[in-house]
Amino acid sequence: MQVGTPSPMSDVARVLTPRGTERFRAWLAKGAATGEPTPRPLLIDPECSAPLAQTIEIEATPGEAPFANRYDFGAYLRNKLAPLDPVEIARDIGLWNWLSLYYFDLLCPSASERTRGLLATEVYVLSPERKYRQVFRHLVRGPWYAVREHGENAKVLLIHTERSGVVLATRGRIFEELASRQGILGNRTVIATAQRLYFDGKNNRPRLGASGYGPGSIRRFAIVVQQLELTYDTRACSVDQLLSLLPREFSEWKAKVQ
Amino acid sequence: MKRRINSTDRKSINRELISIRLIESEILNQPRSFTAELGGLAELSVPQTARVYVEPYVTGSSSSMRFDFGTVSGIVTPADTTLADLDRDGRILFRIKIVDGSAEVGKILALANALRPIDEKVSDDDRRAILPVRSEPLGEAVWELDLASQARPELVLNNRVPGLMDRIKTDPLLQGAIIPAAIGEILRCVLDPENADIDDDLDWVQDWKRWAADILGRPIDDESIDPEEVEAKRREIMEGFARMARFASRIEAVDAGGDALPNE
Repeated sequence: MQVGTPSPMSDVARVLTPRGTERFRAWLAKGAATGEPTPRPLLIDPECSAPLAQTIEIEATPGEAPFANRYDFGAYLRNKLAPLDPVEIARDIGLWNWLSLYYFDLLCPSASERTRGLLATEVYVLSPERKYRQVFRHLVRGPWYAVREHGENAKVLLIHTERSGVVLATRGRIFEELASRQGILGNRTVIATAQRLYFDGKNNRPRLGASGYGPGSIRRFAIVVQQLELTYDTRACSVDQLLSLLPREFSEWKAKVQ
Repeated sequence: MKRRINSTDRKSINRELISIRLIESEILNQPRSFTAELGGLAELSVPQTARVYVEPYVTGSSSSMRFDFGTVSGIVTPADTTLADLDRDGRILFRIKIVDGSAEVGKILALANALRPIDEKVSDDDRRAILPVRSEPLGEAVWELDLASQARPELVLNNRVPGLMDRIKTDPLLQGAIIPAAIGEILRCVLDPENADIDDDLDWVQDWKRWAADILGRPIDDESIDPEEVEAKRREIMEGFARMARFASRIEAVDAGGDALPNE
């Protein structure tokens, strides 16, 4: 289906109206699990969607290849949405819900007619209340925000090693531990430090053991950072400074950095 | 009670030096913004070039934002202080950090935590009171004590009950039924030496300890950790307060048709 007519392979992004969002939500609640097709007509229905302030062309599968991971997805969206004011679109739930519907068959593919592995509705549809614990989990806005805020350092958040699940719908433990705390997800020093400690750039994946629970794990990292923030304003620190403040339990990880 | 060893020489920022006010949006359902008067920070003995950050956050959630207000000697209010990324349900508190930008970069030199913004609906007198009172929807409850987080406790009255904010100031029966119970809860937190949720160096904790010492007529023994001893002290303070407030005598006087007796 072509949404708008900019070029043969791309579509013009729009925003879902409250009515369109309700119909998307209703389909998720019932139709999605019973084999009803994705309600893509909502994407261009003038009562259910509206144009964006600027023309933004997007593609469902750029280069006709699926997104390899959530980082690639986030980077693609960051580039495509770059002409728009990032502060404004960060709060535009209609845009994120439209994109969620547009990419729904990638976020939640159906293996057969009646088998979609649906997750909680909040990961697909943002509500006007925009509670943080829902916003950070949104499967389209989350990767876009992480890449916009952290660039390549968002890889530690968005590339995971989980072997099961849908690539674009599996958030991974590192993302949950760090992004669930708004003060951490918005902190460039902390995310850059996590990237340095836990991401293996050579193999483009988190280091083995990073998402465990033991000493020096990502879980401990999030806790220790919050303790350090009683004494240090970590956003004002450099990555090297924050690394030097981490206690001995992180020595093994620091050694991998050098 | 947490008695922290302040090994970093971090200063605490006196509430008198600052003032934060929430502003309702004129557009329905739009997020609030805030103003902050921070000129008093220049009185602190910290480098005048240290950075000043204001961080609003929502209690009981990880939702927070951060605003750069320039330096101690050069406060610059950001153009946009809309709290657009904060969760809208929950209570908004503020944290102010003064951060070293030169010698030991990133070190917090001074801090004010759990600051309540000024509520336009609360009078100056109530704001300065040891137990400020405010009103808001409480469902079917008449009152509750807002003792969440590390902010100064507040007595919350249900705004569905007509005239309750005025009656709590004049009606001895209402006062006697609500205020001692609220004070008892606060004392339980303040006096418990093993309560890890509240810092001993918070100014509201010190205010309550001074108040309790005035009632007792002797200093509060901070080191007592025997739960029975702490409970006995709490009861002694509450009885002393009831004697001073003369709740029963004032109710009798009102019931007898006489003029309301003043409390002491």
